[in-house]
Amino acid sequence: MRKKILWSLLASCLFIGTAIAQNLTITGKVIDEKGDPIAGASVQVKGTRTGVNTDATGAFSVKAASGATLVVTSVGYEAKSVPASNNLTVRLATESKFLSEVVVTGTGSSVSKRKLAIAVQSISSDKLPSTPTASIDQALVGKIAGAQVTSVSGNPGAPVSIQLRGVNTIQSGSSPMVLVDGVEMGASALNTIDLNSVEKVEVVQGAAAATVYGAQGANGVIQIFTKKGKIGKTQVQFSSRVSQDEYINLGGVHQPLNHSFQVDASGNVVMKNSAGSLVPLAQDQYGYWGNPFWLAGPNDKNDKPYTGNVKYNDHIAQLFKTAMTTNNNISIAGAKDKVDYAINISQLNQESIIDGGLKRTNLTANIGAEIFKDFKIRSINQLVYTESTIGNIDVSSALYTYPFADFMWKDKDGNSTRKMGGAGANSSNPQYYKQYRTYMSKTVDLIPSVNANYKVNKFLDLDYKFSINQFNNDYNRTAANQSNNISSAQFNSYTGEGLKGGIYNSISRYTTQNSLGTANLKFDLANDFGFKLPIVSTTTAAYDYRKKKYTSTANSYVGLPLYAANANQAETKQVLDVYDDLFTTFGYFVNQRFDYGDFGGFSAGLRSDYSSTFGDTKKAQTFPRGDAYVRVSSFKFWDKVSSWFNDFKIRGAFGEAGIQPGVFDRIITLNNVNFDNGPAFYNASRVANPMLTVERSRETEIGFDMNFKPSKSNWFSNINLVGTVWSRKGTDVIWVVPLPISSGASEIKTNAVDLSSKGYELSLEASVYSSKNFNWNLSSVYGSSKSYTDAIYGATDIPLVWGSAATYTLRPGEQMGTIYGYKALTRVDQKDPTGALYIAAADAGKYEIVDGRVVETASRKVQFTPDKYVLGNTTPAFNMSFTNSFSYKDFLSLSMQVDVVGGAKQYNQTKEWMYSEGLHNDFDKPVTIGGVSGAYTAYYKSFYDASESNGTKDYFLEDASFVRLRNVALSFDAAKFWKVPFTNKLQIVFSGRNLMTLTKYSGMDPEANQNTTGAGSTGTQQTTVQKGLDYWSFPNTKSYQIGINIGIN
Amino acid sequence: MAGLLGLQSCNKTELEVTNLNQPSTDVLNSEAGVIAYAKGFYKIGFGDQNVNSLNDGLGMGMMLIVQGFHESMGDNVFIPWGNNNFKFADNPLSVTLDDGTKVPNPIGAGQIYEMRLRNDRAYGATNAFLPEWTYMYFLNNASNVLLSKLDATTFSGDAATKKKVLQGWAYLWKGYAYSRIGSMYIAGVITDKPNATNGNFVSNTAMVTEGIKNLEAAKAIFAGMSANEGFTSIITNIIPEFMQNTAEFGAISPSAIVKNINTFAARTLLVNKRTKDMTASDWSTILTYANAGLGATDYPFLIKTFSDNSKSVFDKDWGSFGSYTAYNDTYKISERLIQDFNAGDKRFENNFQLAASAVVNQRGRGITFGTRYEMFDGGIGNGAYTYFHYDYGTDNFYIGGTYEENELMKAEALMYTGKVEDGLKLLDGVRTAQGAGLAATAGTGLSLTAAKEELRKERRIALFTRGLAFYDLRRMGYIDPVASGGGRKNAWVLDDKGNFNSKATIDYSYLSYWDVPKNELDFNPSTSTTALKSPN
Repeated sequence: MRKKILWSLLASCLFIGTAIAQNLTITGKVIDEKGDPIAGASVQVKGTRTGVNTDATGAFSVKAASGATLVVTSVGYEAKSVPASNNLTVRLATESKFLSEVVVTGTGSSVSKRKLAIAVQSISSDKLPSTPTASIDQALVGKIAGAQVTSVSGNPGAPVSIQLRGVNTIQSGSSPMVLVDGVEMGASALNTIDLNSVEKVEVVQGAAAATVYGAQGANGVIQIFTKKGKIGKTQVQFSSRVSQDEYINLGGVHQPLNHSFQVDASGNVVMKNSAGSLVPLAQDQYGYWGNPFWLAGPNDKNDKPYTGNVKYNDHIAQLFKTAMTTNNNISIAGAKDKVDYAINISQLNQESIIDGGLKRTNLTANIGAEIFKDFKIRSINQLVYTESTIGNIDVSSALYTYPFADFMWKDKDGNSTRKMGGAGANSSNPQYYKQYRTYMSKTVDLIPSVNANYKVNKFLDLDYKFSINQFNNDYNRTAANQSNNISSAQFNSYTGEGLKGGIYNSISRYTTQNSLGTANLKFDLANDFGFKLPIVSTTTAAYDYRKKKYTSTANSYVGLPLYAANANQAETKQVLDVYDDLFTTFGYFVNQRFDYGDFGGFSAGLRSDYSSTFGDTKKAQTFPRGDAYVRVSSFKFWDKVSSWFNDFKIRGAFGEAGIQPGVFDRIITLNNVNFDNGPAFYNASRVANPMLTVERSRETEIGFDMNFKPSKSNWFSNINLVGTVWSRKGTDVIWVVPLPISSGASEIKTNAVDLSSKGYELSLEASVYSSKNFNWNLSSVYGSSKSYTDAIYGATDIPLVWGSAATYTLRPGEQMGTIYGYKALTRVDQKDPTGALYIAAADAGKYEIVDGRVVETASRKVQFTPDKYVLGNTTPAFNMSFTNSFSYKDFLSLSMQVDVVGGAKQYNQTKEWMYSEGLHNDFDKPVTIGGVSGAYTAYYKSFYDASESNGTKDYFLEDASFVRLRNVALSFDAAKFWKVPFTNKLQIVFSGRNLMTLTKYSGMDPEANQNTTGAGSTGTQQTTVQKGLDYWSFPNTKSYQIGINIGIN
Repeated sequence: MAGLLGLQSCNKTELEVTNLNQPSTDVLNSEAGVIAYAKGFYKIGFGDQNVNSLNDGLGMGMMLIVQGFHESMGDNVFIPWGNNNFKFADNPLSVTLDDGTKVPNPIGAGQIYEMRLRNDRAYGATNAFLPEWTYMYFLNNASNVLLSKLDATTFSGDAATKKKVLQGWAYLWKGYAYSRIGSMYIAGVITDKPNATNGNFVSNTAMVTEGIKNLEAAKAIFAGMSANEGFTSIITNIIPEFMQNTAEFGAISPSAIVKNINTFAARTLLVNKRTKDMTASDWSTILTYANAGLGATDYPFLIKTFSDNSKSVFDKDWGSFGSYTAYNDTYKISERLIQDFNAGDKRFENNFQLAASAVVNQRGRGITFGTRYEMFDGGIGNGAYTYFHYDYGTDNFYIGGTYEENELMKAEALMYTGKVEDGLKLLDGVRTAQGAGLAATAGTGLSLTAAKEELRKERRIALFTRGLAFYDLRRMGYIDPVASGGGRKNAWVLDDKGNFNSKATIDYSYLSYWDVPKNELDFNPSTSTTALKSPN
């Protein structure tokens, strides 16, 4: 077959098609099923090179011989052949959307899904829920088959964690590259883009599909297409939504209602005063409590109520509140003659459930014009202004303070106190921060791009895109002057720059440029040259240039007056740090593709990149690709089943793509500090590595696309099923490897790890029921993946240490996300790995089983192994999602999205920390030990202390699988119901997000695991491998929303 | 396409990006560069520069974290926090109360087990063995790099002297680093090549010997030198200016450097042998060094903080042991420090007070984590020595020896060699210098035992915050198990109900020398037979 195609190609070079006499001018119009014109449809005289495209009104005029046949095609419609005759009206039927959709991402040029050999998920905006945050990343949760898209934090502005197809890199997180209308948006965050301006999102998940993007494509690509104006009446749309957001606390986490402090005869908690006497615990004028004695001996019970001198304060209730989010949007879109436009203005105002809020205004204008025949220019400009006052996130402070401290306490002047004395070791008062510390982060994102497209002739198409994305941020953390707060003054206890307050300011600018020129050369041997073989050849060549520049300045303004003032009135003004960097990369992409009619096709290509980050910058890194597909259903033999099994395509792809090293990771410098008599230099503890090279990912995927039409009845008239199996190997993955400290440095970043991942994904779309008045559609995605460390160079293993939390370690041959730790003994005669008894037989009588675990009766302590075992893995077994949409006539619709994360474990570090000082609600629960029931403090505390204090233990590794009613929306369109004039929409929408969750997880939210505090000041980021760790996470919110959408025409 | 391809050649130069945020290593080929590098020793050896592998959320630096280990394991303070593994490093195995009740450590299986458990990369910065090893080997390497650059550097003016001063500076801090490694770790490596090491681990005694050898090399350079222009132009530029010419000490001279070396050498020899094993010859060596050591007005190596934090070696507010002890409740005063004050010592009332509410068995982590006392900053102004001032630039944070330490070493050597009265006079001199307001001990007919006890107490009180307490507890045998004759008797302790005990016995059972950090051995396996773990 392949040989035949090649021969035909050769032939095509020798003989150019025969010309046929053209003696008639045929005029006509191409319309769709509704009678609306189809612009840009191709009208081809069969067997000739003659062809034209329809204009904006669908009209065409073409010369053809009498008796010729016209082949009319248009993307999204079934092709049609008609005999040439004058004043022809050709009505094209809509192609099954599943097949007709055109995909751009990862292909180099647009390709119909029918002929696509790679897995690309495309989600049109009507499939994206209007989440309260109006952000794309939130809307993508549960929409991408095979990906783990999780809402890991309920903090406004916190990004959703997106991990496409397993772990691919350790250094730079799992975030895919984001393209907006074909060019990279390198500086701004995905959640900057306004969901209202989005037409469609396409996602390619890895190297097999993202080879087009070369050294930056390995993490996959999310491409956003903004809305364009369409021919027809000008559309004016207005929408307004308001939602109420509440914190989620599924595990009912709270602090114990009882305590086990030492009390006096009256039940007062006592302290020892400076005279050496035991007196009732008291709070001084500064708000500082004395030190209670926490009794955790074998007989001490957490069963004393908070009475007398101490009261119970619900710190969860004192920390969290119900918040409001509003969202308004106006859009105007239309097209006339050769110009189209779409303008969108949106405003989001989101409050945090703790403190502060986020305001975002988006202006988007997408304007296209055909300057002259076949030359189009499009300009897409987005301006986003975001103000965030988020910053006070004191989950750990609140939960780590004993309940007898009241955060709402005020001193004689009405001020809060920062520390609460003996009320908690690591605690501080969230109310103090609310009073004195404010944040203001102002961000201007500019996302302009231009696109020039010229169809030179029917064979050659030239396209040029250029974008500059700029992120400008001005961040201020202001600590008010606290010197007139009596406790702050007394204990020199303050937040920010000093007792007199101050402002920390950083100004940063990140500019990324992407310039992309593409040439597409397309020959259709049959239609263009009259060959019998229906071969289409597409050659793509592209040049891609990217430049990224980051600059930042950090300033410190110390000492503010007690009256309102800005930084100008500070006592001292100082520049703390100035930083700038530069990154340049460019590369070529060439690809050759052949399609053989509807039967199949293949392509091969390569991308070659240069980069300023590669160890040897002169050397290019090359990434090959190839793919092929066969449409089994297009062969004759398929006719037997085609009535119900309409389409069946098998496809496969291979590709390599990369991830770049850090901007200056290869450049060796000295550290520098300026003393008063000049600079001092010293070696960095982390050595730069001039030999660093690109991280490389090789991926193979094999998949199928199926379309079923199982029944002619209303039920199950159409089902699409898409599946892909993939396997990936990552080499030269960059991570930090230690050095012998005695050599003068402690670590080096190097290409240290080989890793691999494999998995599969399925997506299903079904028309469950379809009738004139009622439709029920189901869409479902499912995915599963596992990632492994294959090899480590320069170290036997790599522990990923993150604060005082469970350690994830990369070990060759082991699945990533594996948690090691201590197991609670479950049998008194349990043996260690060498076969020896953990508990000497003679001592067996001193132990008993409590709640399935061995407890030493006298000390009431749970016994854990001194050896570490594999306790489990925090990677979910699968992610799954179902969306059911129901519509009644054209005015009532209901949709429900349910997400399932199955076989997931999460390490509940929050709970372990709360156990350390008896601050978890479990301490109230009585257990029976030695035949006596009681809420033994020593029993619960031992879970924290045993074997290794704060060590990783099976007890805290919990099943965090969940089923979540992610989204439910009911909408009623009054305009359609009552046929309101001049409006095409007057819709009211009631919706809810995260309304219900089923889980066994005992923490607040099984999905929240972006860690906000707890790592101390360690600058190290939590890596992709360390997902599934709940360490003072910020829970998601449950939101009830009401919205109105008005469309005017 | 041809046009597009043409872009490649223009662009290749664009790939050569430079990092101008920091100096390139090329700067070390100039006089100004090596001077700046020599000054960087303060930062790399003692400062709070960010070292990922050491950051456990509590802070950074020799003067904060390493001093914290020495002072807390020396039982001058207690540190109940898990950061850097402090809660195990300074947690005794058990305490026997006045009534004979033995209270075992409620968490973990004792210091030795817990420290070794965490001597693994899996524990990151929680590994207590890392900080001192890291700072000292970084300092040693900086010395090696400096030495390697000097021959190729062209100096202006008195080139010979300038080069010698920098060589002496490098040997001095190499000697310091090796001495400290040998004083704390069971083994170490001697590496004199820049940015390189070897697997030939040697014992702690060999490390100490190598330390003294390098100190002697530095001494040889400075001994014959005058404070001429060549010396001054270098020395005043390799010490931050705000640390020079202090009111107490004036300018540093070559002879003051020699005296610093002698005091430090005396300390190194003193703290690495059990006191019971010291011979007359050992005491004689100590005395010889100490007699040539620091006088009251000689400039000792020190660090000061600066009002502009970016010019401070460490954070002016929270970068020192004193700030963590006096202010933010991170390090807390041990009852055992307070009990070592003699009645009427003005240094006590100048620095300490009873807290409004005693700390008892903090977080249920052990009863030695309890105290009735707290330290405050700035003193009450009674004329006695003040351990800590919050005001920037007031305090001297000593990184080497001091006059008081030198005098007390002389005193000790004299007492142990039969000159008790001479020793007591020196001890009284230190008390007078610090404004203790105590009656003289000399001439009161104190027995040798009583004199030694006064000396033991005076070292704790006079040298508090200077990082010597653990060495003393070790050499005097207190850290050993009670069963082997160690431990501290008649100790003040608050039990878990807050009751005061004055006759408790504390069984510290601490490691005497720390094991070589696993982070080192994993990447620099030993090629020698030297023990890499402490025998206890």
